[in-house]
Amino acid sequence: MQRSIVVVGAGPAGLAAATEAATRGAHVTLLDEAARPGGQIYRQAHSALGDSEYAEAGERARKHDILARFQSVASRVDYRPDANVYALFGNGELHVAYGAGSEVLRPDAIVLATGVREMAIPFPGWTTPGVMFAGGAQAVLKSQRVLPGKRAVIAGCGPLPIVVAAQLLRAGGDVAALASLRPLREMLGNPRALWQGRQIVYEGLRYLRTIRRAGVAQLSAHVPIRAIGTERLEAVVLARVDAGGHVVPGAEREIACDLLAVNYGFAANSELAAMAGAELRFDADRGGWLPASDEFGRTSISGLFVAGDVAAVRGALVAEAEGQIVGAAAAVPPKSIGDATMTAALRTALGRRQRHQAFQTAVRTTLRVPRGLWNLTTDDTVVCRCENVKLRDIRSALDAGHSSLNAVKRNVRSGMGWCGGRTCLRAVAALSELHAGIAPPVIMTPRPMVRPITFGAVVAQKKAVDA
Amino acid sequence: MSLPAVDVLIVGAGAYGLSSAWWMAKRQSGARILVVDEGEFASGASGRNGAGFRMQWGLELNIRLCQESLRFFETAVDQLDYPQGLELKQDGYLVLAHSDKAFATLDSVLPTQHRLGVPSELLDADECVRMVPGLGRNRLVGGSFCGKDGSISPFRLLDALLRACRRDPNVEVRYRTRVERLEKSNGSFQVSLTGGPVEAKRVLLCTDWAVPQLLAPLGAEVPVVSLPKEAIVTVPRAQMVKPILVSLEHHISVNQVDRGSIVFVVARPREGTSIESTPDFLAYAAPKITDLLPPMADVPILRTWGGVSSVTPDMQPILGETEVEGLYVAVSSFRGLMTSPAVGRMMADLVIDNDTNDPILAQLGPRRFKTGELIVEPLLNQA
Amino acid sequence: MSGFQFFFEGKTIAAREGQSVAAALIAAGERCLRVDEAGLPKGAVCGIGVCWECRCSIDGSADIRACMTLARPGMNVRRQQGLDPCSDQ
Repeated sequence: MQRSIVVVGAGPAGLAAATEAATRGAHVTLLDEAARPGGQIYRQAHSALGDSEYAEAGERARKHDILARFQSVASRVDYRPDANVYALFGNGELHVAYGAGSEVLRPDAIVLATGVREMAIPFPGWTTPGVMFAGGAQAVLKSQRVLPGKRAVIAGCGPLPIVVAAQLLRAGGDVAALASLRPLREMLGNPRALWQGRQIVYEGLRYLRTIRRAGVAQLSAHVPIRAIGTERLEAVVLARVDAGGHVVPGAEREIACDLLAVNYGFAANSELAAMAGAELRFDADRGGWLPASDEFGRTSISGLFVAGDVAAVRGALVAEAEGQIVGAAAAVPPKSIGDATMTAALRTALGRRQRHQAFQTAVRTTLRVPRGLWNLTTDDTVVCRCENVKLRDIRSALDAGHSSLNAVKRNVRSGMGWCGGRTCLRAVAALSELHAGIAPPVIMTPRPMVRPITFGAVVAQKKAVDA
Repeated sequence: MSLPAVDVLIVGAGAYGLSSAWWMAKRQSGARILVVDEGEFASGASGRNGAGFRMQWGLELNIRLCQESLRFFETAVDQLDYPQGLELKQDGYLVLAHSDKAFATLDSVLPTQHRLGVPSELLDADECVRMVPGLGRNRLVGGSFCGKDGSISPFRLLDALLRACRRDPNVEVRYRTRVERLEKSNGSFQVSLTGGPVEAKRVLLCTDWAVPQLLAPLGAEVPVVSLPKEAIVTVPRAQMVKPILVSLEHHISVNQVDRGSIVFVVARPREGTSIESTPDFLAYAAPKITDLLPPMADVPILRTWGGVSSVTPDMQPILGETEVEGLYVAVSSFRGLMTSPAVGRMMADLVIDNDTNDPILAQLGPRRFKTGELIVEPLLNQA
Repeated sequence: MSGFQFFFEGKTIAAREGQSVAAALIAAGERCLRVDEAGLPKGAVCGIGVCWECRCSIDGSADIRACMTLARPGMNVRRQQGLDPCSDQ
């Protein structure tokens, strides 16, 4: 009997999973919140906007290849863009809204390939219009063909700020400074990792060359400590930080700009898995709360799989290989997962995942946020933007003995607003750890909805579909 | 070997438990009070309810319970020394009738309310819609309104009580602390708790539907069962619903809180003690909500949650000493938050002062069920 | 259709087919898309629909994410003030 599979997310992991499962004859439904497939990394612009690209040739080729492979099976995949998967229950019901309507799906297997969002470290002034996540600024450039700012300061850790700075320059933008939390040579000190990730390292060096040629001021061990401006960003104050993430006094410099693009790593979009009751683990370096999963993406809930960054942040190349592996696992009968036939067929993907994962593990340290950096968040800094909760409010709740994310939430409303805590929860957890020693963090109870939908869309719900 | 000893052990740090502890401490009898809760702050029914309170009842005892509680809410910021405020809102409470029979019941209880000084009035359907322009007219007959009724933030009230209790050196509140075993010998209670045993002279159980399981080993019982409910909160919106609403027919209460979010508490007949949101809940509730308030169709839902309150055979609280001497219960029957100040005061009378003269307490004791006669609250048995 | 115009706070904003409201506004130098309930000016942050900070009032409907909404000719975009839905005249 044909197995029915729903894949959530059409980034590299989801596309690869859908492609593999469809190739194996499964009935695949691919749900994605965007209008076009590709996810955040392989984001496609609207066809009317043309196809100029600022990414490296290697990345463009990977994007082309994965989309082409998906296209080759697209006639056999029920691909649904603009889909809002707002709830997943432990009984395997997936609730989806499409604009004014909604639907309940109950497939044989679900693959969550929901990826990541950017993680914020709140600092004074970060709510000023013009302060964006680096990936957000990149999305404006990549899918909208618009420069996200006239004069940018780019900051943070890991490779994304470098990529964004270079792409902005290639698009004709002005980058006033690139501030990195850690010096890049940390990564360059591991020759084995460099070799395994040579493809990515090569692209990184090309981006760095773009930045160097443009004469951009590169400040390592610097972070933005204050954004200046009210209705719009006017300047950013950068300061030196030591290895523990503490600001070194007296080393501040103010740089005029209208865009600050900042990235301190990523948070896994694990809400659906958590809501379904899947067992979670916490790994601050790999996306925070992660669904516990095995090599085939199986979670603690039968029939629920995870693939790619939502399972642990490891980048697009791992995600693509893992998507194929997990897509296969979801498509075969559960007892065949991991048997000789399956692993033989997946030898290439398994090897590729292992190789890229080794590289990702080696560069992990460049993405690590030192504990002291959370001191950037001052008492007056807004932590939860939706509900305007400041660190002072959170500390007051902590001081009164409210010693969990749930208890803090009930006191100060952090995480109760429009975004459902997706922008602030990691920060609330880290700040609770810093200021009250609460560890390990227990996730705030995940509840429906992951994203808001209207009553009208629920009323217009189609009856449950048993595939 | 002597155990750490307290005078009163209160099980359950919800509205009843914390309010009882605060009132007991206020007596300054020197009694040492320990409050334990197996969950964390506000994780039980009190922290999950719809926040409304009303004096609009049909029985004198319910009206008096809520009048006394409202007087407390109005002065609680000072009494509890809680300058942050309790988000007390007195924009009124509109009890809606969608049948002639329900409307007649609202009419029939008005004299009792007026006799006791509740400033309630009867509204026809047009007047209801003038008050809440979004109300749907389907079957709407009218309602009863009292402008002094309203809502209070459960989180704020619980936090205020908790902080006030913790300021008192004779009170200790422990979360994540479960009662593993409760026994009585030699006139006192030996209690096994998470983190170690304790000896208590008196024990007050404020765990609502979970009271029977604590009583059973001691051979005592009170008739109470769980009453799961689910709730929905919308994104913040400019004012759409000024008073609190309850619809007797839809079994839904509506409260647009200060923040602008609209909270719906929906009672659906269902058993168990799960606080999870059920998969088919929204599909069940959304048509009822848009029938009651059609403009809600365009309002985004932010979140749903579940909670478990309790219900007794006559839908009235059970307050008093059980057949085991020194062992007391305070069971809310799904109106814990709105009656918690009065109940806390009564439990302090009873447990600390041995004062059994309160006429309400006399009616709500656990032994009343032995007579076979049930108290009838017209506005509840109607619904 | 490639170039067209829409309105933001009464001003004319140039946009291209396929662009989001947020992108067109950013290109036009408009950073502040909303003033929140606490009076803080807010703009686009995540660019991908996660943070909900770029909510605007569009043709009388409140709380529409500018980053997730395609610009259309003649649409009327308003800067929401707190919970005011900015219903259009």
